[in-house]
Amino acid sequence: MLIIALFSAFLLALVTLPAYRWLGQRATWLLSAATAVLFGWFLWQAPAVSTGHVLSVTYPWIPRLNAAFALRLDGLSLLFALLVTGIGALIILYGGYYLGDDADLSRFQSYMFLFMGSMLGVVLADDLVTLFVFWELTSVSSYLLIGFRHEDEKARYGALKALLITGGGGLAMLAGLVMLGMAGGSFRIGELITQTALSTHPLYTAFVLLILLGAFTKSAQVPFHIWLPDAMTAPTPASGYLHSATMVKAGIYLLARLQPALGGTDLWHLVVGIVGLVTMLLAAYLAFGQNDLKALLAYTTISSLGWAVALIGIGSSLALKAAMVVIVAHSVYKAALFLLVGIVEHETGTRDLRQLGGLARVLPVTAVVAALVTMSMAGLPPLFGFLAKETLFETALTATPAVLPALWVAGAAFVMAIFAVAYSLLFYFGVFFGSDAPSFDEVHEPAWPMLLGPAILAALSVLLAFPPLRTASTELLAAAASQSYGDAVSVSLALWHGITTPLLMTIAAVASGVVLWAVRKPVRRWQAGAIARIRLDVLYDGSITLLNRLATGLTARFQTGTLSDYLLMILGAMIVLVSYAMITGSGTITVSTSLAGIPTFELLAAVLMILSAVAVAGTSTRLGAIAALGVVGFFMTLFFVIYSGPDLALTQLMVETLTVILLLLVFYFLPRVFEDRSTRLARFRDIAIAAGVGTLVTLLTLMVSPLEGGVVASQSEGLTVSEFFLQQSVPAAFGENVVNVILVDFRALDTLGEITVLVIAVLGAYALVKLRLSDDHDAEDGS
Amino acid sequence: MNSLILRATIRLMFPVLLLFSLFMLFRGHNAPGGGFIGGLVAAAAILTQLLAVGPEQIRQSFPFTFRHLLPIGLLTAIAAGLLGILQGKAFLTGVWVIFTLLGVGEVKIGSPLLFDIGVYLVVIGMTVEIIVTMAEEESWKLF
Repeated sequence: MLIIALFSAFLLALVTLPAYRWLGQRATWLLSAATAVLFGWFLWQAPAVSTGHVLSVTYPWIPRLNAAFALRLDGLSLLFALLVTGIGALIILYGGYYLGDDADLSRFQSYMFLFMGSMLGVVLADDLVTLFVFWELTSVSSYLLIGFRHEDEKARYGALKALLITGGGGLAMLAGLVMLGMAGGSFRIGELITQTALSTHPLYTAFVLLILLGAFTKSAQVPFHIWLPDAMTAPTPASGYLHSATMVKAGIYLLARLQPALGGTDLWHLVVGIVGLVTMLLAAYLAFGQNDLKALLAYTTISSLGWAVALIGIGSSLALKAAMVVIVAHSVYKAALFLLVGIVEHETGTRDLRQLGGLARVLPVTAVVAALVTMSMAGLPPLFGFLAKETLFETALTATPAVLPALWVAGAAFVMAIFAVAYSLLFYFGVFFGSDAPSFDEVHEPAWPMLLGPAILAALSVLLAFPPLRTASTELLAAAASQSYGDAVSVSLALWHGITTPLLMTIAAVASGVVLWAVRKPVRRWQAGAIARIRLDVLYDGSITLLNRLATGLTARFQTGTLSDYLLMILGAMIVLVSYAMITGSGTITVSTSLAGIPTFELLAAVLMILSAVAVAGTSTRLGAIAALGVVGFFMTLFFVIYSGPDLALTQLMVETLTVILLLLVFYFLPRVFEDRSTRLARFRDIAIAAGVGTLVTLLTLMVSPLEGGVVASQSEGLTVSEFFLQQSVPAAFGENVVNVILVDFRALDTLGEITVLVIAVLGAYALVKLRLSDDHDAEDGS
Repeated sequence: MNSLILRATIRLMFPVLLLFSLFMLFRGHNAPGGGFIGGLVAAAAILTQLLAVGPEQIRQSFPFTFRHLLPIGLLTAIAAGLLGILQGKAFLTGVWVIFTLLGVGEVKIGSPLLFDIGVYLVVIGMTVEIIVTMAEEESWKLF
């Protein structure tokens, strides 16, 4: 069932394209409903999973490497799966209307489902390898969505930047995961998180830092956060879904998932805690300086991600509970905010704060919905965001590890809360109110399905803070936090605890936030200068330029376009590598210098073959060279016949024949004689290479020779490679033609590789001829 | 190359050569032959016809596009490999069906044959497509 749930999302990605062709806009509803059914299925599992029941399936995948395709549904997975499918259903519906008549709508929705499946795979994976594969798939689908408007250069830039940064982090993470799997003796997450000795493993520091690199790049933590604002070139539904509600939480999911195995050490507390706190503060500060609404939301997203990361770094039961609360609260209100910004942009054509204002008059419903979710973002009661902030304050004040003093955490949380209030006010009043607002008289409310999603999410932001939904959600939050803590965590949430320090902090933060908002003009003007100076992007852009230059240099050096250069490099590399293996490896070669026992006509044929080979190299006419080369080829065929290699003889004959056909086609156009271009030195070099290759191949032939002293095949006792194949051909593969049996059975994978190369070669040749043609046309048009 | 003798001979030889290439393909497991050789024979048959009639007519006189043979052949070979997986063994493990046919005796049909057919198709597709593409290049004035 679990596997069906996972793959149904991928199936929907395939169904999307024909569905839109046949059904038009009705497909949006069907697809959204299908996602809702998926959500319903996960919700149906909630009661059982909340009591600690774990669903799991395992299929062997690469047994020799211990990798399995394993899925598991426990509290933590379920919480994320519900967010992915629930918000997914609403955003699919919204996206169908947002992109409306766009010809690429079905492609967009298909990518969205591709992402949904990948993200479900990440949160359901019980195996590190499975997790990694889906993790990278989310990066790929994110790349496709950011670059959706690929005609736009900014979109391509943002897509590539996101892919390179998250993909680079992913590679580091892969190394970390492999080390973790080796250290723990298993790739199964379920087995790893019950181990307690991992933190004393000698590789602990290495794999923790590598895994953190993956999580931090994915979840846009400082200093890797620079890709997220540029990812805002994605269509708004994708931004809301991937780059706010779900995908960027994959890193947080991974940290929460591995916390029981990796957490609890000073290293974890310090690195995860500090990076989280810095991100939370810096991004909140940067958010206040933005004018682009999506950029503002992007920075607030980074801030909230840092908030959750910091809490996981603290790692106490209270902190993990607070982390789960903020994950849910943020996903719900931020997805809604993105959708609302999408509506504003859709209706007014801009999302620049400096041009917007006074929209409450023309978009009253949107304004009311936005008011609720903005209050949740600001952390005001009685919304779910308020509960998230209260639990953060509570954690900061009571339960921090020794290396993270309560004062730091509480101070950072307090300052962040001030900025949260300020940027919420900036956002809301900047868009919906404002005296100097230009007139948007023709602006009207969007189609109601676009408002449905934000409205449901806004209602959830309120209802989750009150019973009965609050009670129901606490059970799930407790189950998720317990998985992340490694032990039972009890969660109870309440809007009113009496006059407590957290409440006083909230009041102080709101008051300061209002003041900060009131003086926004000078502050933001100062920020505009300061933000411009913080340019981490320069590092990224610089390294990309450097990389491109390096690639260009290397290509210019090695891709000279001269066939003899390529041959030189290939053969040279072959000589070095193979002779190294021969010298260091075992095996003996017997070389007999006696000519006794060799029939005279074979000797004669060999001598003639050598002579014609020399003639090929020596002749100056092209026709002579071709003829001499043909002689070599036919003598080769003769030897194949003598040494009972009829297959090889036939192949050689066919190749000779086809070569003649090919030459007939092009011969007329080639100059009649070779030009003498090479220097003396180059000739000696070529002779040396040729002699080296000849010697090497001769030695290799002697090594595998069945006659005497050949290399022993490892699989069998005392048989040479040839003997092994000869002996096994009929009993193991039912074939009497050993050559063919080797090609299609024993070494079939090699053959598969070869025919793949053939296909690629055709593509290359085809492109070379045809593209050159179109170049000619361009040249003709130009002249 | 507008030679009547060449055209007449090739028209006669072509079906024989194609049959011969199939013969080479199917006997390959037990006697000299196989997908590579069979494919090259078929390609040689098609290409000698190219010499006689030129690239345009070659393309028209076949009911399929040569380059389509490449993915079809590759997928056939991969499918032969997947048969092994369906049996719970490793990729490309040979799968054999052995039965007795009245009047023929014991018959063995296995996934390696399917694999070889894939090789056969790729080899034909590659050889013919490359050479025909070059032959129809107008600026080279080959025909």
